[in-house]
Amino acid sequence: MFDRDRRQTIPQAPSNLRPLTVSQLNALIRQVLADNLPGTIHLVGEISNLSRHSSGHVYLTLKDDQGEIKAVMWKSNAAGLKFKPTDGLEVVATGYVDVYGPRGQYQFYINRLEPRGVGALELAFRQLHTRLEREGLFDPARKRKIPRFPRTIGVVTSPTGAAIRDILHTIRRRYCCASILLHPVKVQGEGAAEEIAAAIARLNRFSDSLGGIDVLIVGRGGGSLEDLWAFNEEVVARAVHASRIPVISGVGHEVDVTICDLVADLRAPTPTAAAELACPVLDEVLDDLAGCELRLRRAIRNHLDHAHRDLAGIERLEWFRDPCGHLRRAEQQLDEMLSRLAYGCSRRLARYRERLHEIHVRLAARQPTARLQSEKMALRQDLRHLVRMVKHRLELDARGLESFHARIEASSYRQTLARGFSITRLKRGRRIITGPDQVSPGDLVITETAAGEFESRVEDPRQPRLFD
Amino acid sequence: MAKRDTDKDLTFEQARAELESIITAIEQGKFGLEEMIAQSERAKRLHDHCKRILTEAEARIQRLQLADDGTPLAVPMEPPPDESAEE
Repeated sequence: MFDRDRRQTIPQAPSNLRPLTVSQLNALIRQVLADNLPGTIHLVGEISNLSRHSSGHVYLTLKDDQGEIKAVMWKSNAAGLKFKPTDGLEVVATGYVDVYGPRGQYQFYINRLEPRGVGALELAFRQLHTRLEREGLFDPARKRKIPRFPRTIGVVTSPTGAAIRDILHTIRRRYCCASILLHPVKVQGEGAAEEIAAAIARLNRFSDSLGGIDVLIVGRGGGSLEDLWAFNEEVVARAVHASRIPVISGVGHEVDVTICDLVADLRAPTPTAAAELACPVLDEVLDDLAGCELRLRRAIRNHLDHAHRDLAGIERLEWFRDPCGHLRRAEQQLDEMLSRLAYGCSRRLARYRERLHEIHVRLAARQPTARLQSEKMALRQDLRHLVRMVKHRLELDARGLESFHARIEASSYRQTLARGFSITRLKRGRRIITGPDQVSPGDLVITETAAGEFESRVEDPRQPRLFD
Repeated sequence: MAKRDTDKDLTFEQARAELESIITAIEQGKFGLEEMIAQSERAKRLHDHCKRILTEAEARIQRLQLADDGTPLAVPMEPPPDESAEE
């Protein structure tokens, strides 16, 4: 029917429209494909004509028993392949359809290639995975922290499976102080997913009235992909996503990864591991607490020791031992300064007084009346002195005269004269001549004899010759 | 620091975190002497509280039953025989 419609519309195109170029037609087809096909297609088929180009890109054909489509996988996607695609292999290819203009071909562009295992389930898983991932349900940023010390651990699993036994055993062994609240559910078969989702919702809704639930463990033991399928259902994913209580997922064995695991706040490889992640080891917590106590004691002791040392240090300080000493020393210094000040002042004062006195005296000396007075006084004193001297002299002379007279009487050189000796004197000055060198020719001399004097003139003074 | 009337309501995490912060503060000498003594007394109470939570709490194992009106009830549950065999 589609073909017939096409045939009816396409012949009309040239008559109504201007002729198209090939490129325009390819662009048109490309647009039609983009508008009408989903952006992501999961395609099941068998690989044929696979060729690995030296550029790293992979070219292949996907086919089933009735048709085939060219496909290409770019190097960047091909590099991430976990397996080696080969001709004849049944695969699920995820990608989109586009037109390759240069060849006029539509091709399938493969983003992800998986070997086809269980087929429909795998495809369903992929589809849900793609959708939920796009919605952000796996976003690491929205994962909540699991409380370290839960008081109540809610468990959503089968009451009869190996999982609950392992979980109970593990929690009681590690952290016996936690309460465990089991919400029994069917974990496989018809309606299991709905039961699990309802249980998660119910535990959230009634958490407060049940005494508060700190963490949920959702899981089951190992099994086939079909057995684990409930944990790949969207209802479970939505319930885990909506849970206010942090969820740890522990489904099957290590290799099994379910949608529930990806949405949960924490993925544990097994139920036992989920129980281990849900609670600490009590002994370690107690050890840690004991360590806290030790640290507390030590810290307090250090603090007190420090305070004691501080205080002792202060007690050793001089001002603490003799608080007044400081004061006394200051006082003493003050006293010293005061006396230095007083002494300095008085000395200075005395010098000023002295200089003032000097100036006064000098000033007084320059006063004319005072000078006159002193001159007068000096004059009077001189006069008195003179009088005294004269008087003294006179007395002295009088006395000398007397003694001289007596001595004259005693010696009486005149008696010598009487015996014929004479004394010759220079007339001028009356100096007694004792040698010829004392006179010059023409000098008048007076000669004294006992009977009287006579005057004569010097003719020829000769040097005395002692031995002629 | 908000004053709590009933430390009994503190969860283990809250008490443990406060204990840690007090010890750290004392170790770093952030308190005056009197404050430190007061804080150390509080730290001791928090420590005891933590210890009480850990040692006095009885390990209860319960399972949920739904009443007729859909209200869930927690009823005591016997632990399954302890077989250590892992699945």
